[in-house]
Amino acid sequence: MLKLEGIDVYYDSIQALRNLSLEVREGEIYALLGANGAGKTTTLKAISGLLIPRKGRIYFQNEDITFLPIEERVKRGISQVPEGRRVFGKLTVEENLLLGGWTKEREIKKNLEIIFSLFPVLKQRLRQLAGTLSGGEQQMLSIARALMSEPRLLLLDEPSLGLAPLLVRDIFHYIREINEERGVTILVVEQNAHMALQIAHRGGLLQQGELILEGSADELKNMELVKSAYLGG
Amino acid sequence: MRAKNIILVIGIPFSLWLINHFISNPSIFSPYILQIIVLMGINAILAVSWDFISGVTGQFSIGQAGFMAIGAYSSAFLTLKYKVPFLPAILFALILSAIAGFIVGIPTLRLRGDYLAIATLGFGEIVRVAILNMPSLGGATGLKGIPIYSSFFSVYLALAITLWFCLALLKSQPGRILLSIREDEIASQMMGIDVVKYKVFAFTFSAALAGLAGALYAHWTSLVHPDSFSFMKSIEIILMGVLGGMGTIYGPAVGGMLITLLPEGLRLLLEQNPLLYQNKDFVRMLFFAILLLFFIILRPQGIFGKREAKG
Ligand SMILES: Nc1ncnc2c1ncn2[C@@H]1O[C@H](COP(=O)(O)OP(=O)(O)OP(=O)(O)O)[C@@H](O)[C@H]1O
Ligand SMILES: [Mg+2]
Repeated sequence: MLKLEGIDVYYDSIQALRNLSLEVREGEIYALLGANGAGKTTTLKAISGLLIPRKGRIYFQNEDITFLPIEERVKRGISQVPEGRRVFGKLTVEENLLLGGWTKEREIKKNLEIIFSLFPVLKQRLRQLAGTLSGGEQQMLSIARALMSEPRLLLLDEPSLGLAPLLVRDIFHYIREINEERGVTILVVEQNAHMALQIAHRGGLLQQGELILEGSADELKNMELVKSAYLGG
Repeated sequence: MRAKNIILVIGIPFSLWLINHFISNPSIFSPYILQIIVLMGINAILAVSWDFISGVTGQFSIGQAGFMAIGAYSSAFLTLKYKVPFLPAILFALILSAIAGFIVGIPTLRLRGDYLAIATLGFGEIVRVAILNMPSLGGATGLKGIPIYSSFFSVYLALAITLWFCLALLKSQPGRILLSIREDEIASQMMGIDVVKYKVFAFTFSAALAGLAGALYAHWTSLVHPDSFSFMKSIEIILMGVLGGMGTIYGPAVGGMLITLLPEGLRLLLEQNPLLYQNKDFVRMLFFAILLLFFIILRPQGIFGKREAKG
């Protein structure tokens, strides 16, 4: 469904991704792991269109999207949940959701219903300012907002960041539900490899802008490198 | 809802028209008071124009006086030299200032926030200096004898339409999009919003409103002068917006009225005291500075703004 073919991404003169190739298959959860600064966020930005690679190609559903503007990618079904949630703090929960759905204006009602069945807590807080939600609720809102555009591929950047362990489990439960029940393909970036590999089908390990390992979630869990560096032993 | 709208659409202009008859009668109301009330309305429109781009959309502009000047001079030029009626002259002013906003906006709105502020500041000065050097626009002497077409009625009708339009827009999807750009530009981009396009729209619209205020101003005071549209005017407009409450639209409208009214009250006080009166410009500046400090420290959200959500 999504294919990166040998992409190089730079910030001015600093190279953040080196010849990165990666494939996410239809219907799966793919976990992209790596330490701070490995290039995980950069990879997601290249897919969503916030950054354009200097070399290489990106294909989505067999079409070349390397140079498409972000809005065109959103319309085709790629939606990103940014690192650190980035909800619109001084707008209400409802306004945040409506903004998320602005490329699919005719489906807004239907999509809101879907969101409320997935995250009932948001329905009770429609008129509350998003900035006053708890961290966990903000993360739910951020995911819900991205779902409003009816993505086929959801890009999640460290959804567990800064959440208490119990909430982390909730969030990963929701991610799996979105994948299984709504049929959304998911690419999730995580430092919490333990949680990510529990729900993922496949994954890869990024190090200094290069993909150094790839495999099924079970394979990754048993690899020494992953175990020692990311699973705490 | 429908019935209410119809009542508003007929009722507001009609009551403005009635008040106009009463208020414009010099035997009932002193021309001095009428003068202040009309200027309050014009400044309210200016403050709203600034709030639309800076308070709502989050793009800090320090060049509103430049757009106001374009509106004032272009309309005055038409009515004075070509005897064009008021309404077409206003439309022309709106369009010309909108075009100026569009042209300035396209390159500058791609820049980071602080660059925009500097670019708009530069733009305002360029307009003023350009007018100074245009003999057909009166140069340093300005344009005199502009027909007095503005009235309480036209100014407050324009203000009512401006407020209605901006507030309705804020509740619609395009309005929400502008707010989201202010809140987090990158996140808006991720929603698939063409951020630059919406910023340029907001800037163009804001310029048109400032141009409208300029046209009303020129046809009220009957004379325009490059100094009326200096950097200080842009600062005054910002003060009105900040005082009223950025991003609320109606707040800056009230702020514009207060900032027009307060100096007049101050003047009445100063007239009692010859020493203060001799230094009235200084006292006035001091007063504004203290007012601004007061608000920045004690009430940064302005009179009507909501307190920042912590989190
Ligand atoms: N805006 C930027 N300008 C310059 N360099 C950047 C920028 N953003 C990221 N980088 C650099 O690119 C590299 C990859 O960063 P990236 O944000 O993709 O890492 P990450 O894997 O998401 O890390 P983290 O887990 O800390 O979020 C890092 O070396 C980082 O310093
Ligand atoms: Mg990151």
